[in-house]
Amino acid sequence: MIDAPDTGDDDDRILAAEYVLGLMPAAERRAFEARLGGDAALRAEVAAWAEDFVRLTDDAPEVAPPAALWRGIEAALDTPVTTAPRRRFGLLGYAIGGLLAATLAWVVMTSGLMSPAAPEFTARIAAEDNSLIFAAAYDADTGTLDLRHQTGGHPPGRSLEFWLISEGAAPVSVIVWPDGSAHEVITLPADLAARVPNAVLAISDEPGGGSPTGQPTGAVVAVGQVEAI
Amino acid sequence: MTTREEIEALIDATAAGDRAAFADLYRRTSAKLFGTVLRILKSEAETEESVQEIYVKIWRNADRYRAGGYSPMTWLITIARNHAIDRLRARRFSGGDLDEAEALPDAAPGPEALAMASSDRARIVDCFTRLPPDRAEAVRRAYLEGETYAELAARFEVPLNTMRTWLRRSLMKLKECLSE
Repeated sequence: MIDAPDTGDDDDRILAAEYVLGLMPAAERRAFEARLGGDAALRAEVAAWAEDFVRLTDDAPEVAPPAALWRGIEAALDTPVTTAPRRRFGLLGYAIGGLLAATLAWVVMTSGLMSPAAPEFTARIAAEDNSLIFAAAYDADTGTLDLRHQTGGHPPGRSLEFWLISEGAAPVSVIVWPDGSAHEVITLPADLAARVPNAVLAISDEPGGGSPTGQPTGAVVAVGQVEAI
Repeated sequence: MTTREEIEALIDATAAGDRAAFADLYRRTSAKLFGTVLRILKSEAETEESVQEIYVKIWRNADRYRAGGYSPMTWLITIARNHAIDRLRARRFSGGDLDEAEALPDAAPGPEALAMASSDRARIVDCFTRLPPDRAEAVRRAYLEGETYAELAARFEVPLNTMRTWLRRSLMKLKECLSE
């Protein structure tokens, strides 16, 4: 107990370990990440645990990835990901949360990056005949919506646009799907995030680059109900 | 052998948008990350997809490396491990198809095997041997399998609160040992 002079430090030490392991419930992790922003000692605890735990992977043998993998990464980097909704939502969402700049930096830095997160809601967004399917997972903790393309495409020159539809509200654009992308992660603004649990996600066929009006203009090609895990 | 300074310089250059540096970073680190993710996911196909996503994450977040205070390989492996754990949990929670994953044997050694694995073994591996085996196993499962308190409680057939108390005590003991 030489290195543990008081229980406050002990508690933080344990919390830091739970954070690194990914054992914190959503609300607790949010609170912890908010603290991390302004607490260098706590950040050091987190980094120290990460350094120790990472050694548990020491004995995982190195395995050379297939050559195609690097080409896939390059293709993903060359795919534009900066759709307007993504940018707008990312910044607006945190602004709405009224968080301090320092906290903002830390939360943005750590969300889904330095601690594992379990999705709490999922949706299967599918066409009636299953010719187009996306899988959605929503993590209420980080406010991130994870969208994964599974099958199907769209006519050349057209775009697929995702909409969040909740009762009594107009559809809200979530993302115009970047051509060829397999996976996108979108951070939703707080007001929209609150509506995810009972919402429907829908995909409409839109002119290239997305709906010119801010509302769906083309056919709805796939829908899915958001369900709690 | 790539030094810590070299990896760090490559991450910094990646943060500045240097694609050649990023390619070099990939060449030097991808086998370790791929092996680590494969160990966690136990599925080649899922590992390939995940590692691709992990390097895209690294590219997009390289400018955040300096703020975390991690050593460069720890930062990279931690991102990879977290991504793999997210994937594993999503698979478990969605009751996804486990056939492929289960086709590969569980290659993760238990705490004792870990302790024997290397003569240059990590302090944490030594410290694990000082814990009761089931407690060490619980911590190991949280890190390498992403098991939650609820899952661990079910596995060890104890109430959730007991599991939490157990694990926190084990973490405290680990920290004491690691600080020696």
